[in-house]
Amino acid sequence: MDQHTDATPDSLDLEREVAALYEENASRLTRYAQSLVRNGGSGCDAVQEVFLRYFAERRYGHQMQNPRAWLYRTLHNYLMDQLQSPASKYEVPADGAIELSTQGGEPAGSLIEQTQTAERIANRLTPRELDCLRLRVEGFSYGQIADRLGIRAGTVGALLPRVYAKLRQDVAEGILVPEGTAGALGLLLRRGPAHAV
Amino acid sequence: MRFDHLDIESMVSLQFGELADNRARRMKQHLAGCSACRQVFERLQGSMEDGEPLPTKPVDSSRLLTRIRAWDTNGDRSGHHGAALKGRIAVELAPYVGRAGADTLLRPVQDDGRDLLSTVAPFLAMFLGRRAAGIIITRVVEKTIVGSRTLCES
Repeated sequence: MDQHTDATPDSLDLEREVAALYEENASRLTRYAQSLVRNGGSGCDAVQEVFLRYFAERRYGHQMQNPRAWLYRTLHNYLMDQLQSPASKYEVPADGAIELSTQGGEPAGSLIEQTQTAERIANRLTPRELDCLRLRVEGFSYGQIADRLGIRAGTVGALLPRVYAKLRQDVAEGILVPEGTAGALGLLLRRGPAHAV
Repeated sequence: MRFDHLDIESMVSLQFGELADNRARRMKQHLAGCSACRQVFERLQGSMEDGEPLPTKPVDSSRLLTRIRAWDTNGDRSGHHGAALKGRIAVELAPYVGRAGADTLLRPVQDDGRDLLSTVAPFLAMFLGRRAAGIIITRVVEKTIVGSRTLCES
C-alpha cells in the first residue's frame, strides 16, 4: 500500500529521510538508470540528481504518497529528457534506441499519444494562437509576447483567452484529457515555434 | 482520447505488491497484451534483481548529503522564498489555472515556502488528476527551484 511521507520535516529529519531512502533504493535505481544509458557513471549522476529533486520537493512541502514509485518515475523522466536533449551527455544503449523513439518521459509509451494530442492542439489553433500559447507557457508576459511576435499586447490579451476556451472546450467534449493536454503542452513547448509542429 | 498504457509509478507499485488485487489483475492483463509496457516492466524487474555487479556503484549516502547541503546552502538563494518565489511559481502555474487563480492559490503560502507544494498539489490534483499534478509539480520545481544548478556542478 502507499506509504505516506510526513508534512514538511525539519532539516535534520529531512536529511535522515533522504539518506534512508537512498540507502534502500540507490542500487536498484542505478541499475535501472544503467539499463537506459550506456555510460554507467552518468547513471549514478542521474540517481543523485533525482534525490536532489526529492529533497527539493520535500523541503517545499510535497507529500509523496509513494516515495519509491516517485523516484522511479522521476528518474525515468529525467533520463528521457536528458537523452532527448541535443547537449545530452548520456548515451543510449543499442537496445534502448527503439524504446526511446517510442516513449515519452511519463506514462510508458505515451510519447506517440502526446504527439497526437500536440498535433490536435496545433491543428485546433491558428499559428499565431499557438505561438502566443507557447511563449506564455515559457513564462513571457503579454508585453514580451507582443514584442516577440510583432503584435499589440491587446491582441495577445484577446488571443490567449480564446486559446484557453478552445482547450477547455476540447477537454469538456472528451477530445482531450487533462493529463494528455499537460503532456502535449510540454511537447509543444519543447518543439519551438508553431511552424515547426 | 484515452491513454491506456501503464505508468512507471503503477508498475513499481505492482512489482512491490502494493496494489489492490483487482488493479493488479487488470495491469497484468494489460501487460500480457502490450509489448511496449511489457518491455518497460521487464526492464524495471531486471533492475530490481541482483544480477551482474553494477559497472559504477552509487556513492554512499553521506557523500550524497554533503552534495545536497552544498547545493542547498551555496548559490543564489535570494529568489527561493517570499514574493520572488511565489512570482516564479505563479508564472509556471498560470497555463493550468490562469494567472489570477495562481496568485490566489499562492496567497496563503508562508514566505519560507515550506507549505508551498502541500498547498498547490491537492488543488492541481482536484482538477487534473493526481498523476498529472505530480508531473506538473516536478516540472515547476525543476524550473523555479532546482533550475540549472545541479549536483554535478556544485
